[in-house]
Amino acid sequence: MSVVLEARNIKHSFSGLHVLMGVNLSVERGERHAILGPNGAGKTTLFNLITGGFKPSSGEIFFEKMNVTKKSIHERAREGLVRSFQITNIFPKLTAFETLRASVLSRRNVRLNFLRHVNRMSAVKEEVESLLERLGLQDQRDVPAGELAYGQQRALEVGLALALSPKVLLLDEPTAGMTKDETEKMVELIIRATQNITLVIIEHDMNVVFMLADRISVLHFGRVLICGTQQEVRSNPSVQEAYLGEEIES
Amino acid sequence: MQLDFATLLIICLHGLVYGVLIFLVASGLSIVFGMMGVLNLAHASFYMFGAYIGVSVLQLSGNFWLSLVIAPILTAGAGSLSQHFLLKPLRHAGHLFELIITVGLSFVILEIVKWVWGTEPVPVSLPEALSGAVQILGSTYPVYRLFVFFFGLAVLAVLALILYKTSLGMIVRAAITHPAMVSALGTNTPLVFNLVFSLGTGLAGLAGVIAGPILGIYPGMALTVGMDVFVVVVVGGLGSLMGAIFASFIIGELQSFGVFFFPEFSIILIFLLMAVVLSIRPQGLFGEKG
Amino acid sequence: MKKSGITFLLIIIVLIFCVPWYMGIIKMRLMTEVLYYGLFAVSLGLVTGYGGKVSFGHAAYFGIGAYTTALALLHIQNMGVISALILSGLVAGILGAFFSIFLVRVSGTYYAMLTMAFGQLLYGVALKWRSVTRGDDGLGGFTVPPIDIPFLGSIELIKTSNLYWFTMAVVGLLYLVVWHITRTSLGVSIILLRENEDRAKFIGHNTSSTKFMLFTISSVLAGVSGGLFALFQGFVSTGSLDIVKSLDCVIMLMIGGMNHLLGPLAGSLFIVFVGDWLSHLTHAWEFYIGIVFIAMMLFFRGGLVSIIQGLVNNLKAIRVRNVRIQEQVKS
Repeated sequence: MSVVLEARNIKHSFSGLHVLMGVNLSVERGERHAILGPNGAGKTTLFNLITGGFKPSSGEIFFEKMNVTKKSIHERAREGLVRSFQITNIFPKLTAFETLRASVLSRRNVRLNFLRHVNRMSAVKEEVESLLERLGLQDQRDVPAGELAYGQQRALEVGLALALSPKVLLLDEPTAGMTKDETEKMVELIIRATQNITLVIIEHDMNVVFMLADRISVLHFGRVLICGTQQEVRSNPSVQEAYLGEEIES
Repeated sequence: MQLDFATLLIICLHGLVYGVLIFLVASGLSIVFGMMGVLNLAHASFYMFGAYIGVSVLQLSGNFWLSLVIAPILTAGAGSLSQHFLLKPLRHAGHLFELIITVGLSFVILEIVKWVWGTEPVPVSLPEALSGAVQILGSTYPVYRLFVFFFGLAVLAVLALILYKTSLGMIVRAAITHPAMVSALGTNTPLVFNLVFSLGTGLAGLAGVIAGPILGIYPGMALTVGMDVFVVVVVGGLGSLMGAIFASFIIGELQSFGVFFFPEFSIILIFLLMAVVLSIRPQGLFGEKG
Repeated sequence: MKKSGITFLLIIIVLIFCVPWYMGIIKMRLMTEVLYYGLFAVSLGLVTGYGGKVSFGHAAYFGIGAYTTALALLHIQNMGVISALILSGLVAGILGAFFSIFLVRVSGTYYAMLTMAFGQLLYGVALKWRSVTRGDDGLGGFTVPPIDIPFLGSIELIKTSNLYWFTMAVVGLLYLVVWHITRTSLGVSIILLRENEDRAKFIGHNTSSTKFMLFTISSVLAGVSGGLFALFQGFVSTGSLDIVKSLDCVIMLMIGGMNHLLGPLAGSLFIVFVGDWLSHLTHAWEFYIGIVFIAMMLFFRGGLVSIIQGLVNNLKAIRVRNVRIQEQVKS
């Protein structure tokens, strides 16, 4: 099994506040890897660093064996390292269709073309329509994203990332704030969509984690407590101690 | 003029005086930006407004000191009304519209000034007590300019006192860097905003009154001084008072020496400095990355 | 586009084309101004309305376009009008490309201030470089040569109606170019800048490249509009690139409506015609324009276009309601 994404000894602080203190993460190609940890453990920061939001105070990120630590956000995204956001981060005035189309165009490397009209690109149109169906948003095709229901916005949030056909997909709490039904649908979508790609997912909902994850890394106060299978993690005493009485029980 | 110590000293002093004036105007602009995120493009218009009101009070009452009191108060009032009726409603519409409406405000203030006082420069006479000159280190320097310098410093000292020694000042300082936090703590944010905005414009108006006799009172004065004020807040750092102080004196001296030695290039130099700072270190010398 | 939209557009185009037949010389000249100021405002609209960045220094490109045309006609032998305009667009585009190297690195208020700084910088250069620009005395005395069209003869641009139609043709063509761009993927990328620049990066957009193209294209358009200004005025001074000119453009764009392609034209129509009418009534006409502007920013941020759209929607709603009432009465 080859390692497709690796974070080596990542340390990061914000103005003296140490958030990550030597994190090592190794994600294997095709696996579904969950990252757990209490709030403030540094999970979203780690995602930010991996995808290029900012540079780590020290440490390196490797993607497909390439050192991407110095590469920009868009370079990493273009190479297939794509994330979604915990707090919905979409384009408020664009319709669901237009939103997904933006990603599809980008995936096809059509961004600065000023010669062809986009609404004449039928292949693009078809791809967006099929994406809308997969996300269950076909009825919201022409609704501005800002006016969608929360669950629909989350679907769009994940859809934006999926539409790029990423090699490694990083989902940051995709089911945050969702109802049980919505969560089920989202998990189904994720399972279908990540059949042949690598998934790294931050989650708080343990049911989701146990449905999805091949391996789990548990982050605690800026360090990885353990990285292992569900079995290994569940039975690990330090994990149980860190999560005393919390989500493991639910 | 010969290039001797006396001349250099005078140029230096002119720069200091201009620096103080610029700082009086820039401080309000900087604080308002730091607190409210709005760059008030009409700020220098209040400077102009204060100058015109001041000279009118002077003409009506014959008392310079009276104009020194009344003009800033009226200017602050105008500022308060502007913030309440123009800026507050647009808070939710975003910075773009807040910025743009201040453009409209600057136009309207300019037109009001031209309407009421005409387009010709208005002459202003100095009070007896402040006219004349004194000897400093071999040069003769106008008393009035010295007055402006020390009066300006005194105002600054009072401002610093309020900011660092009173609870209102503490709230303002906190709100400059962490506005959301302060609001969450329960302070009446709209009221504080309005107060600070009024204070800022009042200061600008005060600067206008005392600057009148030196820089002249004419409709274009807002633009001339306004540009230097923008350079100062950019170079010093939007939201940083320390930065504004440093930058004011740098720009003051630059203008003074520039006008004397490189009259052809001083305007270009100043904006080149602004462009360079914005390109390399947008937050200015002392500002925080926002 | 909806059928009613196309009809409306066609009516407008016909009205604009037929101006020399229903307007006298004075009003025709005003309409010429409306057209090139409209182009200037559209160039700003691309950056501000479409891209979401407020520029307070756009007159730099307008002015350099104006100076380029003036200087070209003045100093270059056999310089044609069309070549002069192309040169204006090119020079403005180069300036825009150069400035955008710095402008892509800043956003929001800092961007606005940098555009202001660049504008003032250019103003200072134009003011002091008297040997070339004659400073604030201004540059005049260049003649506008006729346009020679092979096989058809020449068009004297000194004739008001000819200059009007020429301006209309140039502005119309460039307006079409802008419309076209908004329908391409470049147009989509520009909108992403405005809606969520951060997310755009995360879906693979090099937003600096997008901004570079946006600013450069916009400056070319502004430059051509400046060239048209020079042809019309016969005189170019530092007033063509000072901050007042930049702010006038912002006001025109916002009053017309920055969210619609026709907004800038509506804005320039309003400012030029209402401004002209008001200036005959009172010296303080700029004061009233300022008040109108402030009122619109408070109550109609979408500009005149949004007001008209609102009226049309209300009329449609009333008509629908009336039809329903009639149907109820029948049954």
